[in-house]
Amino acid sequence: MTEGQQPTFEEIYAALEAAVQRLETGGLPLAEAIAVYEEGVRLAQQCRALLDAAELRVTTLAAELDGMMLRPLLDSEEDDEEP
Amino acid sequence: MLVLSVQDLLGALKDAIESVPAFADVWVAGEISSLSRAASGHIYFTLKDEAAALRCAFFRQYNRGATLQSGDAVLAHGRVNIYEPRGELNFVVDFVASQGAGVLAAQFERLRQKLEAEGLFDPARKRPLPPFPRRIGVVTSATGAVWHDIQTVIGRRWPLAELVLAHASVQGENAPAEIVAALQALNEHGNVDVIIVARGGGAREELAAFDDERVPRAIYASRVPVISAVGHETDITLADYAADVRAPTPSAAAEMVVPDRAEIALRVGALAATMASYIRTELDRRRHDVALSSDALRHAAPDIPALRAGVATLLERARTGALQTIAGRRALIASRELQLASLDPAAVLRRGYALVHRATGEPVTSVAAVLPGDRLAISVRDGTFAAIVPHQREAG
Repeated sequence: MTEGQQPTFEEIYAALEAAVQRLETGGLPLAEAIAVYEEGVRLAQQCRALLDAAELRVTTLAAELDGMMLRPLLDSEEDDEEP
Repeated sequence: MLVLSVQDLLGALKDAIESVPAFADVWVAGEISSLSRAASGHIYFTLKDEAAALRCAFFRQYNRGATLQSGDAVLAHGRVNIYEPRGELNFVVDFVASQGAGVLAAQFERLRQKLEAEGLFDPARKRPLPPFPRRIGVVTSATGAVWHDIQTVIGRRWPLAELVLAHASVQGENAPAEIVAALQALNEHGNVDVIIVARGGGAREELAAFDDERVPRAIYASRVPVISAVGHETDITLADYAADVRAPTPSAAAEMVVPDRAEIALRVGALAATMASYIRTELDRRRHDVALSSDALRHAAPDIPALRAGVATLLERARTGALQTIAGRRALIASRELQLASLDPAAVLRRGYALVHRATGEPVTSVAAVLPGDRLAISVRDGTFAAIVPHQREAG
């Protein structure tokens, strides 16, 4: 999983669990604990946003492959990558 | 006229016959007779029916100690073979089943054993399904209820994912080839995290495509984990054996492949609440620590009012003591003054006494101290006068 593009739901959710784990383990200086908490809140909000906004996208491989085939014909340069 | 050597003729026959695909992979129905078991473990028998007989060799590597008896009505699978040294045609058998169950069952069992022996069903090889798949490939027919049901279930449970359909016929002659092509296409171009191979319920013969040897092989070869859902719950095809996970129905497969959005949302809420409670606990703990410290401080601090009161008391006592002492001294002085006053020579004079003294002031207190002719001074109450001591001492 690459974080170079947008992080996936799985990555955000895992980061949220990790933040909670750090708070559970305890022993953090107060300033750091608050920072972890605030980050956790941000992550939870991101999760909720992704869950609430989601709409199922349905496609067929044939259509996607056609798209892939057509692109080099439409583009002037060869810049296509795997979707 | 063409003249061939024996070996050329037999060689040509061998090539001709063994190259025919049907003769290399064929089921023969017949009755076993003349069964013999060699010490080597190989089994030899004749397969016959009312008009013909076929000599069979069932080698040890295939027969695995099969219990066969003369008289058994069997379906034997194998390939036709020409044994040139003796000019004999025989049948190399790799699998025998009782005729009772039918050829479909026999074929299924033969392939099941064969693929299992190759390791295609190895439990250790089963891969876990990704917990949050982003793209889900589906191999099924574009028409029909299965594709529709899968869309419905995933749309409800986890719309965050993307569904990618690779259409394939799920019945008929072309089905196995199309299923294999769909699996390969999803692996190579689909960019999917998991694949569902699905077909709705039907009679066992209708599921035959999923028992075709090519399909479990393609499923095993898939880099992407595969979940299969073929037929009814009680139907298990070779595709199901090879898949990483088997679901009883296509809808069940859709449920197994994605988490439930509502459930995850609850979990996110629970995690957020847990965090809030931990941070609250931390803050309370710190506050409590601070309170303890400030309490300790307070108790260690001097009680200023009490000290002030103590000082005031001491000052008061000192003041009182001092006043008493002064009063005492005053009283003492007063009594001394009285004493002094009573001893005052002037008071003695006032009582009528006289003081005799010389002009120098030195008192005369003894007769012996005076001589006739001495000039003396006499002080009385109201003054002093002179006196001279006469020459004759008057009586004393």
